[in-house]
Amino acid sequence: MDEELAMLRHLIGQLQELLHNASPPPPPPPPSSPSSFYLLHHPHYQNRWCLPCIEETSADDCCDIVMAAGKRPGIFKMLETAKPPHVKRSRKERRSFTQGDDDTSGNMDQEIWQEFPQDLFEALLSRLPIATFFQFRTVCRNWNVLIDSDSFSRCCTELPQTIPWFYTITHENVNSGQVYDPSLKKWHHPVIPALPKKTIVLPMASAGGLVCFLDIGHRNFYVSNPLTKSFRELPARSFKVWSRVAVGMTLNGNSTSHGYKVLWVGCEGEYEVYDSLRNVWTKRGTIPSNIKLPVLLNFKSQPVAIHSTLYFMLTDPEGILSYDMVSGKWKQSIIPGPPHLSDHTLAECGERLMLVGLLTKNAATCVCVWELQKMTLLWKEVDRMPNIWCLEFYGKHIRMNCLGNKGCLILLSLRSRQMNRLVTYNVVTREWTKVPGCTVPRGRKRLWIACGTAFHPSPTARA
Amino acid sequence: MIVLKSSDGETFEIEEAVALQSQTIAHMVEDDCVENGIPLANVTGEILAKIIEYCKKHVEGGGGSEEELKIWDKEFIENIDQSTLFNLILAANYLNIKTLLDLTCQRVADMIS
Repeated sequence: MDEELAMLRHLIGQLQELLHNASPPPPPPPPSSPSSFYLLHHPHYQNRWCLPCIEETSADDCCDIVMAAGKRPGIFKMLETAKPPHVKRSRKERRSFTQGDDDTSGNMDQEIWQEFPQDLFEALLSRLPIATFFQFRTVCRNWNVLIDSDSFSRCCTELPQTIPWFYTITHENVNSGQVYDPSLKKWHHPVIPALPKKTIVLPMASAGGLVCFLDIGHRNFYVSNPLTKSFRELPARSFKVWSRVAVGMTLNGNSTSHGYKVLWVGCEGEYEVYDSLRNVWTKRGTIPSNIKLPVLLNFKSQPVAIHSTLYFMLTDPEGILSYDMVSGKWKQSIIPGPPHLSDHTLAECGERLMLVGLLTKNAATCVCVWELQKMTLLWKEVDRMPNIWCLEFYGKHIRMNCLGNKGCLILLSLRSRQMNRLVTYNVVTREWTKVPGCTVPRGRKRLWIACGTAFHPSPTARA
Repeated sequence: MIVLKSSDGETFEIEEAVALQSQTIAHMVEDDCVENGIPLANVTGEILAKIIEYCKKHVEGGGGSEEELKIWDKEFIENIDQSTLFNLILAANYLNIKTLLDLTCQRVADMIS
């Protein structure tokens, strides 16, 4: 409770500061660089690869150590040796690759792979682990051209969906995001240079690899790909809403190249939809009167998107409010919540709606997972956190934040006065896994997650 | 039965179901130009043999469980040298065998990452 008060005071302070300062405009698009290497610290490049600007390394980010050791992953050698379309190689370059190679990674025999056809590169690159894209500090011209190409984008969308990553704001570091990669169990500390620095910006929703942010003053929306820093500031909304809003995001097709939509809805029922293809806010309206208002949205619960429908959790009456982005229709479903439930949030797995929450009976607290039965519109319990883990919470007042709006992986942040636990739950394999603590550079404490969103990491999503 | 001819003159006679895993060959069969065997100018005998080995195993889901097939795939791909892997990718691309292309590309991605 104390921590929350401190955070609230901090946030109010920030808001006051914001009201006295103008926020800086986003940087203009960069001129194209003549050199063939794009270096890291170029905060003005919006659509270029801008890798984590980590001034101090944290123990969690060993990618820096790898790069510092001077190892150059095999992929760069391959890219450099490929025959790019109109570039003439100097005699000097040609000589350097037939000399012996001190390639220490991957043992790729250059003599064989240098003939690899350009058009198959994309098939290879799209299969690299996402973390590879996230780690590279310097890239060559070919790499950038490839990443930006439509055919590479198509290759990536054809592959099966990856495990979601989580973009979070931790309670101490409200000014930058901490991204968790569950496949490698690593935390990354990206900086999105285009986001305004003087205000707190919160991740609210995601779709197709893009994360939608809203600043704490509820004024401006921003959409960015945390891996590539592709960025867009959305135009101002038609009308201001000072109350809390719930935000949902959907793709029009199966990738960002077909555009996306962002919906915000306030608790008086006012809402608006942003259309990325036309770059305008549209469909402004109020939730129809057949739905009981005021709508008490559970703002702590993230809305969940399944295809083009958004699902919001309602507190009173208990149930779900859904909005179809295509037809523009709202629908309310009354669904009684499980008893003794707190800190509950909606989650999604394979087009099924799930509910995750804390069940407290007497002094015992446990994390439970329910699935919505479509036929009966009732929650059915499908799993619980193993007893041994729950014992740790016995008699303590536990708060939980949960991120599960994408994919079948749910990130849970459990905290009490003395303790802090981060856990992931895989809905498909029913596995509960501990998450390594997130420590930021210069930080000491293990942090708990204040808010965030799951997202599917995509090197090609464009805002 | 379908006859395939490699670039270096070797001939391979295989069942239609096996050959049809290649979209390229499937189109040729549809267009009815397979009377005297199918010449594959871009694929050597050695590589073609490997491809046929893969396709035979993968006919109708491999006949075993999914797990068994995955294990077989893993052994298949780990026991080939880089030069063969390189040529397999090119051949799988030319012959348009999606599952083999996926397997080989993933293997290379794993090797370089």
